Amino acid sequence: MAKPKHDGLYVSISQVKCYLRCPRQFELKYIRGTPPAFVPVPLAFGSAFHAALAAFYGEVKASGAPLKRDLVLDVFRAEWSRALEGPVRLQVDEEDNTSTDTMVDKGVSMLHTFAEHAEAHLDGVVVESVEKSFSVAIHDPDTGEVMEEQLVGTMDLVVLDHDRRTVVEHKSSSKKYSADQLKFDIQPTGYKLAARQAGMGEVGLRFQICTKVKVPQMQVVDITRDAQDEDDFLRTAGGVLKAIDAGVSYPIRGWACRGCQFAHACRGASS
Amino acid sequence: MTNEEKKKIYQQLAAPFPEEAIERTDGRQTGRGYNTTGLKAQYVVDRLNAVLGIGGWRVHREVTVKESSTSSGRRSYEAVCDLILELGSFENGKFEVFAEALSYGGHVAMLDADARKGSASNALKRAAAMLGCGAAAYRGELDDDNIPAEHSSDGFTVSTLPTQRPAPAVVPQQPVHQAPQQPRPPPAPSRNRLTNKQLACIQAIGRKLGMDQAGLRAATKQRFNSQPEFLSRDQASQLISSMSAQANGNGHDAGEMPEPGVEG
Repeated sequence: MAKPKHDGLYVSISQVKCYLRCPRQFELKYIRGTPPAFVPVPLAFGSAFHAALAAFYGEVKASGAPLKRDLVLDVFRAEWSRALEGPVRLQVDEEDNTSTDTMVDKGVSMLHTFAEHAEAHLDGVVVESVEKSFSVAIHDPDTGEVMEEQLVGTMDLVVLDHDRRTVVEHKSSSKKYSADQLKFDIQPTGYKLAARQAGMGEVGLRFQICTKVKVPQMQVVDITRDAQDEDDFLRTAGGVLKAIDAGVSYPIRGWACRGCQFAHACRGASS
Repeated sequence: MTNEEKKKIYQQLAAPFPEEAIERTDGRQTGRGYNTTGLKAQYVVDRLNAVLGIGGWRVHREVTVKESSTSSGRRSYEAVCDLILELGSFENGKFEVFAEALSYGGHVAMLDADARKGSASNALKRAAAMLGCGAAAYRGELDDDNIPAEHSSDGFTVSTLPTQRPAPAVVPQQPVHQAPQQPRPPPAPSRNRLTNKQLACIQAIGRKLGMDQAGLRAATKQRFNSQPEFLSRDQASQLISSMSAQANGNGHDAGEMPEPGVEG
């Protein structure tokens, strides 16, 4: 069970995405509190990669200069070791052409690519926050009814880029994001709404994606979300909450079951 | 414009609206305790455009917004819109008015923009009603008080501000056809998840009973097969009752959390 970091009822963008992906997984993970059988390697890798990027920008915020490359790599290695030694074992997707042994090399390669890009684009950029948590009210866009749940989450990075406040989301991905992914991902929409609610004003939104391919590449895209997107987001989040209320839970069978942390509890059992 | 022409316009403005123009709320969902019926603002705008034509009406409005907070400490915005609706036409770049109605509307929302929008919509609907357009809502045939409220469990209600019934319209009232009674759609299901207050209560009694978070989770899972945050309101009530009895020394082991009424 993911332990709540917040007081009171809340909903996170990850929870909404989880429910949309598979209501049964949501039920097992969040409602029943079923312990996961393993931690997927991409999840642990992403966490370690994020920690390294947070350290990089944390130093920019503190001193105005980026963290030295070897220290960035050290943060990644330390986080990865922690995941390997954690209480829940890591598991590689059988069809994924990786192993835990090769992940450090891959991470180092990706971090070099990231750092080269980031160091070259620091002019005119002021880091305001790294790993900025938020907890804001959400409402039904049709009725104005305020939800009991607060929308919670963490923005990877908030910068003033040539005086334009921008929320940056970091991703490590097996391939570049498609146009549809960039257009419809609800995560930045939630950030835009949360930023306004948190008094940050109208923010810009940016994905910084580092691909996990043999020769990693950076995909940096500024995206936009309008009022309609925000309404859609609120309808989606509200709809998910109402569906959970109504006890709607069903499995989505498919390729994702192979790497599901809760597959052991899914078939037949109710907990 | 002659009186006859004005009467004709009034009759067209006051014609019944289709069923899809009417929005209804369920009192159990809004926390008001009564059902309401009103008109959607866009249908009022559409009617004004259809009857008077583009440029055949205009509004002047002044919106004031006051920041306030709910009883649960959340920030909210309270907007009041003073509005003048003018009917007329542009002649040589100047708007010549032949009828006008003054009104105001209020709205409370969690976002500044929503509060402004809601107050302007309410004010327009009231002003239009003074000229016959949607007047049925204010005669009790419909009801404009249709803004749902936050669930009242934490004592906060999002609602329209206190309003007054519209003054008599500029144009003399004519008999208006009453919209035929339509069957009401079934109300949307209200939220069933426990409230913040219930969750806080469970956690507080749990602490009083010496239970840590893990212990509380384990006990809740054992009894309801659910984490505390996802209990239903009924389950939360049951849990609070049994935990309270336990905390008051009625003799059950905290982990058992017996059903209310079960002797220990």
